[in-house]
Amino acid sequence: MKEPVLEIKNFHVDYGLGDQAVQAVRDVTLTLHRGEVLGLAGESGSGKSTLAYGVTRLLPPPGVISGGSVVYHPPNGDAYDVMALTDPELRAFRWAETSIVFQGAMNSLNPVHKVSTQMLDVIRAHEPGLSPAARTSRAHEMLKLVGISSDRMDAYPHQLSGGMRQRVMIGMALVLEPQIVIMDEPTTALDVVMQRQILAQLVELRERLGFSVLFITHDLSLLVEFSDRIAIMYGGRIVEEARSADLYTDSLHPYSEGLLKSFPALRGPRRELAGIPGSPPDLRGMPSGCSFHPRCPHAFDRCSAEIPVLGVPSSRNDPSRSVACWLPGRVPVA
Amino acid sequence: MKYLLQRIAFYLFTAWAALTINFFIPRLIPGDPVTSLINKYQGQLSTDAIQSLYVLFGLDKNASLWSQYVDYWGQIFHGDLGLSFTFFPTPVSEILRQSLPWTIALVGITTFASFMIGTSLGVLAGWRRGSWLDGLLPVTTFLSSIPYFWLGLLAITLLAGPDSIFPSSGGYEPGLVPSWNSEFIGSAIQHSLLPAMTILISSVSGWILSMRNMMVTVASEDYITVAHAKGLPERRVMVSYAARNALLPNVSGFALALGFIVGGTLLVEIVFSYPGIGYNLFQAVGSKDYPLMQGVFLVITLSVLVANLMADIAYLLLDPRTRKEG
Repeated sequence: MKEPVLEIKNFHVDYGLGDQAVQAVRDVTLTLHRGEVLGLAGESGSGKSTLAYGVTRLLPPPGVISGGSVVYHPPNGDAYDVMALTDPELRAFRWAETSIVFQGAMNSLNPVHKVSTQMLDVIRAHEPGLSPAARTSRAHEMLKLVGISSDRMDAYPHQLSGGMRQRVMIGMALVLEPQIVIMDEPTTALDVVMQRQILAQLVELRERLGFSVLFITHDLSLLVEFSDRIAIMYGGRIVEEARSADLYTDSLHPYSEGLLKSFPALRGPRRELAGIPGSPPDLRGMPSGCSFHPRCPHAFDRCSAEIPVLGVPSSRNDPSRSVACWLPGRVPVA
Repeated sequence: MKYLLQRIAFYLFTAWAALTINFFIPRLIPGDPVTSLINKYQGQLSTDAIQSLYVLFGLDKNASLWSQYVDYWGQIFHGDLGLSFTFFPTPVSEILRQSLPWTIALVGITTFASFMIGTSLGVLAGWRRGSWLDGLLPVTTFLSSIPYFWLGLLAITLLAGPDSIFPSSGGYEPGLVPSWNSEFIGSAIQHSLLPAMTILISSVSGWILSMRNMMVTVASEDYITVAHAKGLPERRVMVSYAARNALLPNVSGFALALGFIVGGTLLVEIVFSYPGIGYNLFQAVGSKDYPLMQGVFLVITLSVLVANLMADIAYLLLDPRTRKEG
């Protein structure tokens, strides 16, 4: 087992306060290991982006982190809880240790400043001791790594294409060489060819720089190919976690199965595509018990009565896997 | 650069059109200034004198419209705007030269101060949404709905009086001769306090409201979240990321306000009998002083055009998206 770099423990996020609060993320425990790509997949509204915003404490109001801890393990030094950091500590932690590439490639750059200004201000904020020339050369170098020629440094965001802007964002995310890069649907706004190019580049950069990636997407096919491990989220909870290959060939949760059946395989025999019946649960009125039971083809009495616990399934005896389901053989070993 | 030249050409064309309309309007209005001047002297003018008055006002009936038009342009380029009736025979250009600095000093400075104060408060109110600063909003909405002149009348009634340090009218102590000495300047500042406060109070709230709303809109943009995620200092995110973008619509509003400096605060100058352009216009309308009215309109038109040109330039500097390549 590799050493952990980020441990999310019993994490809860609510929108709103008191009785009106909507629980968007519930009791999520997830560990990101050093150097791995962890995929987080789920439908819209499953809480995956909320989890990412919560972990970095970037939730816009009325989002509230109502419980849990996020323990960060620096490469050398003691681990600490990100939730307990003071504002100046948090500012120092952001980007230098954990950077984020957001969904909206188009709107992530400030339209009135040059690309170089936006690259340089983050370096200046975190490494004030660096000389201006050193800052510039660092920014140049990083942009070159993501395939942006240095004459584009002085361009304004509106002069770049969508793909270039997202490359700039990735370059910016890596400029301080953080341990963790959170990617929230980074390629959703791009065409398929550009998606592939950017992901290939990301894999290459990761091998070179050795950061860990928390990759959030609704596109499970992308994750199967690109990530080491995959966690599936449904209704604010993690319902299954496994190595990508295991999940692809042998998914245990009916929801993961449904997701996998809803896109075509690239290789192998042709198979029937099937969606998941019903629609994602309303977070204001979650079904009792397992929140997937109204849509689950295998649901039985116990599913609507008790919330299944995430644990190592009894039938697999593999500590790298866990699932939250009441079906026989998937209930955790006691 | 090419874009700027295009804009300048456009403004020159607009100025030409405005000045041409300025030429035609008095000639289309029934009755003419000479008739009203003749009435003023109650038939004591000889026919020769009347004819020379017509020539003097550029309304020579023997000259064609075209040659009048050419003469009109010649006069404008010489800065000759004709003679005022109200202050006959003082040239209009002389009257404007005396009153323009008053208006520019009073309204110009207060408009600028109001924009700066209002915008900064708006930035803070929009950034710290939900804090006590939001309590300002109902007050500002209330104040911005009060007309200038009414606030002025209120200020005079409540604050000005025999024992008050606030004079109720005029631009300076009646006995003083305008000059650059401390006594005169002190008196001018003292006289400008009430009108300045009136304009400031009723206009600052508009800036606060519009800037706050733009800040709230911009604060939810993705690049603001990115700026937070980058761990930049709060001040830098607020100023360089949020306010910098939220400012753009306010800048064009400011340019329009600059254009209205000259004409827009007419009522304040009337209420306080302040010796500015607006008060001139008031007097000119009262005595059918066409040349003076024409002169005031000319100044207003040109100032609106210049303000717009400045807004265009400011926009070019502030928003890279409006700059065209080359």
